[in-house]
Parts: sequence; structure tokens; C-alpha cells
Amino acid sequence: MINYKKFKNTLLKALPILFMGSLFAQPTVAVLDFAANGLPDYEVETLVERLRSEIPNTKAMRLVDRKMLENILKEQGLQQSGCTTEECAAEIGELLGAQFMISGSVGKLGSTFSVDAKMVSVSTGEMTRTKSVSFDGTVGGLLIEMQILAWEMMDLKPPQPLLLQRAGGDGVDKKVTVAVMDFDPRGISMLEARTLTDRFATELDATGRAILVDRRSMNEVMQEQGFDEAGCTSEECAAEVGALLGVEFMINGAIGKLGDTYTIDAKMFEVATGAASKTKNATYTGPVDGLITEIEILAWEMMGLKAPNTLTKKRKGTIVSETPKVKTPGGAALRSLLIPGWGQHYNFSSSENPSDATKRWLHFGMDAALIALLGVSYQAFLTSDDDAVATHVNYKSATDTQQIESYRTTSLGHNEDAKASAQQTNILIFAVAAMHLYSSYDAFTNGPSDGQASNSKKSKFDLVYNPNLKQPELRFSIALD
Amino acid sequence: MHLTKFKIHFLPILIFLLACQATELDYDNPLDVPSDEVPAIVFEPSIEQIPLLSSSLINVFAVEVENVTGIRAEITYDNNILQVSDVARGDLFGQNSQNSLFFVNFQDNPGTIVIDYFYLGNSESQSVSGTGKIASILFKGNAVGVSGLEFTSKTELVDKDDIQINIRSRGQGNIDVIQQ
Repeated sequence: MINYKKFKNTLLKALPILFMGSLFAQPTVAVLDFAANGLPDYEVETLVERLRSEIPNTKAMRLVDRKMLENILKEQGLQQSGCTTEECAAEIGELLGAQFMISGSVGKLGSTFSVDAKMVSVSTGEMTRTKSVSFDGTVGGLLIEMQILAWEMMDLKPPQPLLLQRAGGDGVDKKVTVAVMDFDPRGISMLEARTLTDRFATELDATGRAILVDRRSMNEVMQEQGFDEAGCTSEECAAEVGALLGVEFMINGAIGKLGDTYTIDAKMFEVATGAASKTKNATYTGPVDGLITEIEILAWEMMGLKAPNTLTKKRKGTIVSETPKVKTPGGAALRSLLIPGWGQHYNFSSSENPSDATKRWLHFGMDAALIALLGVSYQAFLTSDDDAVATHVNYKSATDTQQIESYRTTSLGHNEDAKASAQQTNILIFAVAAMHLYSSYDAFTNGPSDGQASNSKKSKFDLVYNPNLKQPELRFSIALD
Repeated sequence: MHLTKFKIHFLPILIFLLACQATELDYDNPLDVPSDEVPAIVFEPSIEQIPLLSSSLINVFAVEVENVTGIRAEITYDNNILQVSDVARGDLFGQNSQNSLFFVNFQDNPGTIVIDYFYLGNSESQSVSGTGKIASILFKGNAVGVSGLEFTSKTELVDKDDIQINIRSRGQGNIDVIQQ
């Protein structure tokens, strides 16, 4: 018969011991100071210290305290940087009770830094792992490299934030960090959409302009945070995910199928502001495998690059690609300035506001009526003026006083008519101009809604990711226009 | 911003250019004399521009006269600029030269033309009324400049009884001789 109460108590008492045992089950490692070649010792010490401080984060090994290491070395009369051989490292490791020792060197050649690290097994004295890093940039940039090196020396993949920090470093400042959400399938299966998204992401990576967040890591983060990727189709959701991933840009989109025609809509937006940075649409008609080429080309275009010839030569079918322009109040105003009602139509096509629909015809109709009146008036002016001039010529050449009288009276009559028509024409010109200005003003003030013009034009509170602080922050923005 | 500038600067200019104006016409036919200024004696054309060494024909008209039987027209001009080439009879007293006498005396120094034109006979029906040409004078431009043409105070109209008719308006003329 088992006494469960006694068993439970025994188990509880044993837990700390088991816990400590699990701690001690981790192998221990000591890191010696690296040899400095071409750069000051204190810089190398700082870099190695960064390596040391990152090792506990890996949770793969326990780090031997630096003080203990220094005491042992002092007792043995050794200099850390002087202990470069495997034998020396193994000997010190044995004294420390560590299973592994890490030693190495940091060198500088021109503007290139090189870091060579090796890990020695104390028990066998054999080298178990070596890593070399070359880095172009400032010495400060090496700090990240040392952190990454710590993970690699433990034979682990460095975490995404570290890789992203590396991407934002000195040597690769033109790259942007991007995460790609699965494209929304419309008329195609989810599997097809994912395959195409994968192809898009792969090609995006091939452009060399983007540092992509690993899809698996992204899915993990989303799952941890309780996001369902299939349901995360809105920009807000994507921006939140982007902030969690610590990326600068997010790309989402949709792939649709209508008969034999495929449509691809992709949007890249800035995580920090939520503003759309680039939008690309492509309509493709042709065999389905040609769609893969199209989506690959789209990846280049999203990065603002021209797709390579090898890719464009593979194109099949018919392609209509376009970059929709962001509608602005200025655009609406300019349109209405040219043709009253055009700006209202431009506004209506984006807002579907019924008042814009009425106004576009009202403005256009009024302008057309005014222009028609203007035409009639101008024609009357031309006729009267021509008649006045023709009669005046006769008046000037006449020598018979009765004829002179007759011509003068007639010419003066036509001239008066011409003056009246001119005045009327001028009033109508001003009326038409006023109509154009009013329509332009109306189109501007009732211009495309803020959401279409720019996300940043709203006064709002929103949660954004601040890449400088590397943390989310609450932002309040006020639209000043 | 660009749009605003466009509106402010471009549109008024456009409107100004498009704005129409009736042609300004001068009703200045020298024979078109107001009723309160007749009878008159005028030059037609009253203003002429000719190239150097070219000629210009200036007509002398009697406007809205009544019962005239004789005319003396004394005309002065700048003889440094103009030279009289010829003077021809007008049709005031008919085309038939037998019904009238026409005398011209012109001298280029000091620049005076005297025209005497008389209707023959003394009956009421042999006087003329209305507007008619007294003479046509052909001037030649000899030097660059502007020469005025004027009727002197000796210019007169007379009826069949040789009684002077009041001339209410005496026209003036200008001939502008320009360099070719």
C-alpha cells in the first residue's frame, strides 16, 4: 500500500535537490581573455566581457566566475592572454573544475575586425568547437558579434532580436527588417497562398535589401501572443505583430483568382507609424506557374528594385501591374480646378460619399452650362465687333454725308452691341473661373478621407514600436492640417 | 502650396488674357462734321503719312454748304517738307468745266495755295448746296517731318450776290513725311 502523503512530502523535499542537480548537470565553461592583435587590450577585454555576459543567456552552460578564474591564474603565475594553447587552457580548466574553456583572439586588419574563438574540452584537451567572425565597421559593432558568437559557441541559433540588431548595424545600414504575413487567399487555397507567400519571402531575401524575420519565429511569436495568423489580416494586427517582432516593416497582402485572372495585392507599411510605405498591385492572366514568377518580381518591386532579367524573362501571360497612388485633397483640388466635378468624382470613387456623387454632376453641369453661355456670348461679341469694324471701314472711306451718317449710326450700334457682349462675356469668364475655384476649394475641403490620404493625419492615441528604445510606446498624435 | 501659387498667380493672368474688349473705333471721318459746325471746309484725309519723296493726294471739301456760287480757299503748308505737284478741279460745281471757273495759284515759297472756284451765272438754280469736292491737291514729301495744312482767314464762300457765307468750321490737316 502506498502512502501518498508521505510520497508527496518526500517529493517536495527532493525538489530543491533535483533542481540543484539539474543546475549542476549543466556543463561549466570558463572564458579566458582573448589575445589582442592590432587593437588595445581594454577594447578586447570589453568585447570578451560581452561574450561572457551572453553565455548565461544561452542557458546551455554555466559560466565560471571571472574572479575565480583570475585568482587561479594569479596562483599559477599565468597571464590570461598568455594562455593560448589547448594544453594551458585544459590545465586551468581542470583547476577551475570547468568542463570547457573558451579562448581566442581579436584582430584588426585595416577596417576589418576578425574574431577567432575556440572551445577546448578540459577532460580530453581537445578542441571541440571553433568559430571565426569577420566584421566590417566600427569596433562598437563587434559587441553584437560577440553576443552572437556566445550562442554559436554553444552550438545554438542566436535569437532573432540579436540578428536584427546585427542587421541594423554599421555594415548593412541600407537593409530594412521586414516580416511577411501570409497572403490572404481569395479564390485559392490557404496552402497555395502560403506557398506563394514563402516564394515571395524567399525572393525578398534574395533582393539583399531586406532582413527577413524567420517565418517559424514569427509564427512562434504570434502563437505565444495568442494571434491567429489567418485571422490577422488587418493593418493594426500586423503592426502589433511587427512591434512584437521588433521589425521596421510588415508586408501583408492578398492573392485572388477570378476566372483565369489572378490578382496580387501587397502592402508594406511602417510598424512605427502604421503608414503605408508601398503598395503594389498586379493582375496576371496566364498559366498558374507564371504566378510564381510574378510574385517573385513583386518582391523586387516592393523593395524598390528592378527585378533581374533572369526573372523578367521567365514571365508568362499578360500582366497589368500598377502602383495605386495615394489620393490627396490636393489631387482632388487640382482636378476640380481643371474640370469642376472631377475632383468630387475623384473623392467619390474613394469615399463613396453620396454628397460627392451629387456634387460632381452638379458642378460639372453648372460649369458646362456656364461655358455654353460663355460660348454663345462670345460668338455674339465676335459678330457684333466684326460688323462694327466692317461698317467703320465704310464710314471712313465714305464721302457722301448721308452715307457717312448711315455708316456711323450702324457702326456705333454694332460697337455698342459688341461692348455689351464683351461685358457679358467677361462676367461669364469670371463666373466660370469662380466655378472652377469653388469646385476646387470644395474638392480640397471634402478631399479624400484621412485614412486614404495618410494614416498619420489623424489625431489619435496608438501603440507603436520605437526601434530606438527597442520597446513599444504609447503615442498621441495631433493632425495639424 | 504649388496649387495655391497656381491659383493666385496664374488664374488672374489667364482671365485677363481671355477677357474680351470691343474694338475701339474712331469716328473721325473729316467729312463727318457735326450739324452745329456746318457749313465747313475740310481736308480729306485729314491725316496722312507718306514716305520721303512719295506723293499724297489730299482732297478739299465744302461740307453742307447752301447756295454757294463762289469759293476762295487759301491753304498754307510747310514748304520745307512738302511741295505741291498738282492741283485738280473738284466736282462741287458739276463735272462740266464749262459751268465753272477754276483758278489755282500756288507757290512753294512761303508755301501757299490759293484756289478760286466760281459758278457761272446768277440764277437761283445755278448755285449749289450740300457737300462736294473743291479740289484735289497732290503733295510730294521732300523732307522728313510733319507739315500742317490750314485754311487761312482769307478762305471764303460767297452766294450769287457775292455775299460772304459764314464758314463755321475750318478743318486742319497733317502730312507726316517719314524716312523710307
